Amino acid sequence: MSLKSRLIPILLLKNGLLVRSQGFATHQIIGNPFNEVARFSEWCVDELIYLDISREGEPDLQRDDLKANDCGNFLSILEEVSRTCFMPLTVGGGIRTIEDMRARFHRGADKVTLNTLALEQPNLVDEAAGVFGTQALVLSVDARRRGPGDYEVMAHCGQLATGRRVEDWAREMEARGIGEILLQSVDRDGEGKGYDLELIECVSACVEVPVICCSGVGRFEDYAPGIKAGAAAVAAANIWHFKELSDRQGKRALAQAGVDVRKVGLGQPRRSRTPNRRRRLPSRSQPATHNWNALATEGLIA
Amino acid sequence: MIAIIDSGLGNLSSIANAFQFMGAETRVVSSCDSLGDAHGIILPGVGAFSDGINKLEQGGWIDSLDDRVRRQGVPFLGICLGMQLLAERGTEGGSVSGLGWIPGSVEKITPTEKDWRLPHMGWNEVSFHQDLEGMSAGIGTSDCFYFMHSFSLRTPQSELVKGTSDYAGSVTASIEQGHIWATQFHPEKSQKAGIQILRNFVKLVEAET
Repeated sequence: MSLKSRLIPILLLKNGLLVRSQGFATHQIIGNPFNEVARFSEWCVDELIYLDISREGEPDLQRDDLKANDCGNFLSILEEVSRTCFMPLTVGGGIRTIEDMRARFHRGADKVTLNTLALEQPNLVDEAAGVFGTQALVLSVDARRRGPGDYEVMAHCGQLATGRRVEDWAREMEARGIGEILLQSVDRDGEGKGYDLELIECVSACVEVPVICCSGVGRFEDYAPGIKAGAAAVAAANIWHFKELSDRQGKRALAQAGVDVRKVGLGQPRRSRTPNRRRRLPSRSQPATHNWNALATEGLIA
Repeated sequence: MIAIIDSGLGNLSSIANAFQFMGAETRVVSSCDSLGDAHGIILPGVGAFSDGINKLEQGGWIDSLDDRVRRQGVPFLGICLGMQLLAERGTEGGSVSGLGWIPGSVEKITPTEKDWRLPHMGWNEVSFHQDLEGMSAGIGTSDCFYFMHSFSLRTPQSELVKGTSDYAGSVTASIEQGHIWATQFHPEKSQKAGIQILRNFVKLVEAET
């Protein structure tokens, strides 16, 4: 009986649409932001990370009527998403003030990820920890390899070198009050060659807070080495869109490698990926359409 | 109607969403005068103990909770910090007095080895007293619940502890004293098993009215 290693899908949202990412630069559109969450919620995934990577002032190519990213758009998406999300929800992207954090918590986020804010206004992290508690703050670190065992923190969506060493940054932020670290690798993003294990070892060894590793998963077998390198949770984005039954198969691969995971949904039948129109946008007056008793009868959940 | 107390201590919408999903009527209340018609009271909360107790004090909640819950017997559910605040004393942010409903204090979990990271974050199994009614009715022995905390309530009155988890020793996962229930984990974020606990609470509320 003990704490389980978590398996976490990351959804990337750009200008209101889900995207897949490569090298922090190429973003391919996947679909609308609600279907995937409803699917993950039915699968009872351990947790969900939802990142808005829209860049300010960037035109939305899909919509001529929206010339620039609209932040209110993300908040309203979040509000809808949280209505059917009975698992911990972490959101990030575009957070610059304590009020930005509050707006996300009020709309159903349990944790927020901080990246640019932490780099530009580190004092706000201390303040946020006092207001919301350390358990609600996740530091998002974009790391780039400079050489063996030498990683640098990158800013502005992985594009700007800060000159800071990842370990120093992680330790400083831990002292200021962040409660978890979401560790991403700019080099491995979208490559599908597995995690940067040296990076994970290096950061996990120097902090006490849990580390969520990310970037590079191409096969379900890529998860377990992340846990063995010291991460408390393994996360990925792209594989969740391009492989079938990604939660069940991911957990199975972890369990087979001897990792203690929460065994939920390991017996679920195949579900259609076709968007169900009725499930797409739960209206305010109607309760969420999925029903645990029905799911239990179907053997979808343990 | 179940009142969800908004004293400025964190995420209430997920709790309201969970009850809405079950079809139970809730209302988020931000004034201590509005507890009068509540048949059940939920005290959610995240953050630091001292901050939490200050907010309750400033909002005038302490007396109204004492009156409604302890004197009039309205069913109560404290979640996360909402459980810790029931203790006599907290140690987070200096030693401060809590509500004192449950004997004992809230102390930092002390990891004995590197494997125990803090916060205690994620899904952990809870071993419940297997009761046919009350909080843990219908909960399986290997059901997991979502935790996010670094401090833990320790009470000398072990019969009040209804659920425990293992994390660097035994962690108090839930408390049950008659109509006063509390969980360290987040039932509203613990999917099916968590919803079952909230359902049990709704049952308690219905039985009392």
